[in-house]
Amino acid sequence: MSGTSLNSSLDLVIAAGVLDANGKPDKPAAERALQAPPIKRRSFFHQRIFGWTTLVGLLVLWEVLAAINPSPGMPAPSRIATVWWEEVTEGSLLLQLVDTLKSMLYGYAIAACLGITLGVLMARVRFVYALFEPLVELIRPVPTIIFIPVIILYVGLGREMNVLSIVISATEPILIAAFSGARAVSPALRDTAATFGLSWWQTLREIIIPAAAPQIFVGLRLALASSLVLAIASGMIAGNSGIGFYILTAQQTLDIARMYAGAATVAAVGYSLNFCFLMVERRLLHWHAGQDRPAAT
Amino acid sequence: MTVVDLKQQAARHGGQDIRISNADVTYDGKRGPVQALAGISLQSPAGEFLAIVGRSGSGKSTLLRLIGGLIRPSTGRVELGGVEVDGPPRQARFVAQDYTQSLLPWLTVEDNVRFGSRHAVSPDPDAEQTISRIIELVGLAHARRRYPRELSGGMQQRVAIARALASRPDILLLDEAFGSVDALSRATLQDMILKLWSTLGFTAILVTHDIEEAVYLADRVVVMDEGGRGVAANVPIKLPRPRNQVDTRELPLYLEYRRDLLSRVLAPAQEAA
Repeated sequence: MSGTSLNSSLDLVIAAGVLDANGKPDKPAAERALQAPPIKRRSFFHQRIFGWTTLVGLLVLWEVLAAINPSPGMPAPSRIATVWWEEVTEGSLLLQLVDTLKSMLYGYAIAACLGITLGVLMARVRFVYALFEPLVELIRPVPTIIFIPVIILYVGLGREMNVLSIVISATEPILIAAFSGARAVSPALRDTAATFGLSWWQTLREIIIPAAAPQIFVGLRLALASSLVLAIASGMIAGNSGIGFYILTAQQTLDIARMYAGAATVAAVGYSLNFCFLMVERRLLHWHAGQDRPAAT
Repeated sequence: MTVVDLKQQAARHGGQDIRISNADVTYDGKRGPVQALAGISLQSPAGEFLAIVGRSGSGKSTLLRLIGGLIRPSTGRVELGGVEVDGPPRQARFVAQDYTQSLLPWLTVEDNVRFGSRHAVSPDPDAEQTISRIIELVGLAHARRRYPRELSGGMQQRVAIARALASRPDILLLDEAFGSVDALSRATLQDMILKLWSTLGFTAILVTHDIEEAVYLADRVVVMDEGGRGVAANVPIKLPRPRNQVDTRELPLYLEYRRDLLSRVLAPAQEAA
């Protein structure tokens, strides 16, 4: 099949561990990628909570260093926490965050629809594959940041610009994952569809899409991260709005504690989004072997 | 219930004769075309339990896929009730050896069987009742809410069979359907399929490499010649029904069939000569 060139673009999915280099499902790797390390009866030093103590330790160290050597460029974590609370209750931090998340949500939703539809169709319809494969290959290696000045030129500095840059960045991993997932549906499942007399559309809906779902979710998860990056970066570059703009302004006005408060918020939001994503994924893909809970109770 | 009764029952169900006339199957191999089946002719009346045995490469699975419409003959005809098979026939269902790949892993046992019912050969007014009845018949009532990966191999294959039967086929095609499970599960599945076949009256065509299984189950055993050269032998099995694992397998006639077929499969070249 002429998918060789797109095979090269499966790197991301391979890197994510769902397919091995031959394009076959790589179960152990998929499990590694999708699963938290198994929590068995292990010593404290092997548990996840131990990793959190590293963070706490660094914060304590920072606090101590800031107390010993006070400087406006390095406010203590306690001071940052105070500023954060002020910004949340009285300042514009939450408003700016909501603004960023709004762009992210729109962009991510559009990218998901576009990526899944196009990816699955490219895997199932030769004409669609032939039509879009060169375009996808061409756009794929270009960093999305490059598109931002062009987008600004045509759509201005409004939300459309943020959303569009997210769409461009987030569609690609979803598309590639959906394509490879839909193409890797086992011949036995396709025979099943054929012998039960499923129409093309029924096969797509009842067989191909559910079977490709685990891979699609890998793409969706990669896209979630890049959506957040682009939602923040596009606001920063265009200097229009959002949490990125908020952080940049704080830095430019030397309000360093406010800058850190913004950055910490972004970190927490990113972590929470990923956490929520994994919860949803676990719920929807519980039937999938990669979703085995370590200690099933 | 005798075979004659069954055939009448199958006729009531609208069962249809299978007729393959002088069919060739050719694959596109890396070094040119590969002939998997050459000039094969075979008939099976509605309601029959037919077993197809042969060595690897004898084309027995190809023959089954041919009847199932998953491949087409390059020459010759495959007919079902006098109508040429052109793509998977509506009235046939296929149970593959590889049950781990053919079940829908995102659906529970019950929903997998419901999938069969939703894509039934003929509309079923009591679909939900049929589904629970079939799940009970294959002995999975306790596991109806479980997912395929939570089941043993034998249980998964029972789901695959239940799913096929829930769509009320006239013809059930079994490709080494009991080949990948342990010996005890295998005996259970064999008895289960016999019971279902005698209850529901479909035509069953089983491809197997197990001679004893073929003799135990079938009305007739077809021995495939090596290299896809066609039918080497056609042996009607006149063992009484109902059959059971203990008594039937001790009958002198059973042993005779077993001996006869084994020698034919092991020495097909002599037989052809």
